[in-house]
Amino acid sequence: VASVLTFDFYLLPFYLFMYPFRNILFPTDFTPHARAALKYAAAFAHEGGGRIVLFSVQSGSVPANLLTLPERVLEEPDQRWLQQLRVEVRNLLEDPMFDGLEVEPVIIEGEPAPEIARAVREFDIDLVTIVTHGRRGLARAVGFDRGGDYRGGDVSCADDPSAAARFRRTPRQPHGDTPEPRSPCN
Amino acid sequence: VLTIRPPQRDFVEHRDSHTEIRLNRVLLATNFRPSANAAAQVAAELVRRTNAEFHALYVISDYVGEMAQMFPEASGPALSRLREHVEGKMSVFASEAKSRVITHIAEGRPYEQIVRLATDADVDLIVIGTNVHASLFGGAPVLGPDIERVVRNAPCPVLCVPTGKVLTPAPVLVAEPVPQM
Repeated sequence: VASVLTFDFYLLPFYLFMYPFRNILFPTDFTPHARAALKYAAAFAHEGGGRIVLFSVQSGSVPANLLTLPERVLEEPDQRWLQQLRVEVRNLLEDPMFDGLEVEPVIIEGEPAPEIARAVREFDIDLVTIVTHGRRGLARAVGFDRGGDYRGGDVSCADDPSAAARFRRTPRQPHGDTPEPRSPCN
Repeated sequence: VLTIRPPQRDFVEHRDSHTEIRLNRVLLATNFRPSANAAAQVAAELVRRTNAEFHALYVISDYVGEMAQMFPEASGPALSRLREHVEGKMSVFASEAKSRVITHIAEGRPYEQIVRLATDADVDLIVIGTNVHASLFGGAPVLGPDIERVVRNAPCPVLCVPTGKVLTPAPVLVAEPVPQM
């Protein structure tokens, strides 16, 4: 007597990530190094008539309406980093590479690896662009779960200790219309 | 996942606020396993849309050659059969492809051979399939050592294409345990 175990997983044809790429995730920490991936993301988006999700993960709480917050809110000493972040986002969005493309800036709080993995699922991403120095393993930068799906990683700063240091841990805070004061970094 | 390690060969041209993909040569590194199918399809589609030259490479790993030296009676013929098998697979792949494929079969360390061909042939993009499972490495997300070496040493960007969900293609029969008396 034998019992039959049927698995939920089968050899699936791979059509989910087919070319052309419609949804492209461009993770960035706004460093010049990370910007090297921009032209590739833009080129593939132009080629396939796709859109780009400009994605940045921060260690502090970022208000969802960062780009439209009144300037006076960000002039508080505790909010200066948000002011700087907003400048960096706006500068990047003005890059000519984005001309004619649909770009959605998404800036969230969290750990880069799981947040990027979540973004890949939530935004139905076909392509992720990654810049690496190539000095260390890509294990932290790129991951795939046991089903073969992209798990995400600490992308643009993966092999760049100086960039990684930009992400400072702070207690998670709820998102609101006005930003919460940022805690001192650990 | 497109990995870029500047400075390296560049296949994107931005001029007069126009960004274009200018692929002249695409190299597909394949082992003909199911995990490479997705990469092959993406590479073929890229080549079709960009009119690039399509190179396909299979590397017979150097450990097969070492085995043949250690056990010449058994492994020598096996190596010969493997070469014939790979040549057959390459021929089928080239004949079924919708565009002309320049096939390559190399022997040695896979990443070295991939990087060498990419360098020698002035390849603009390497396409490679991935299916290394994190479960094999204590949950650590990995691409596999060979792919990481390719990414680190490649003269051009590397497009790592994850496979679909690959597990058992057929049900597994498991005998019920014998009742203990």
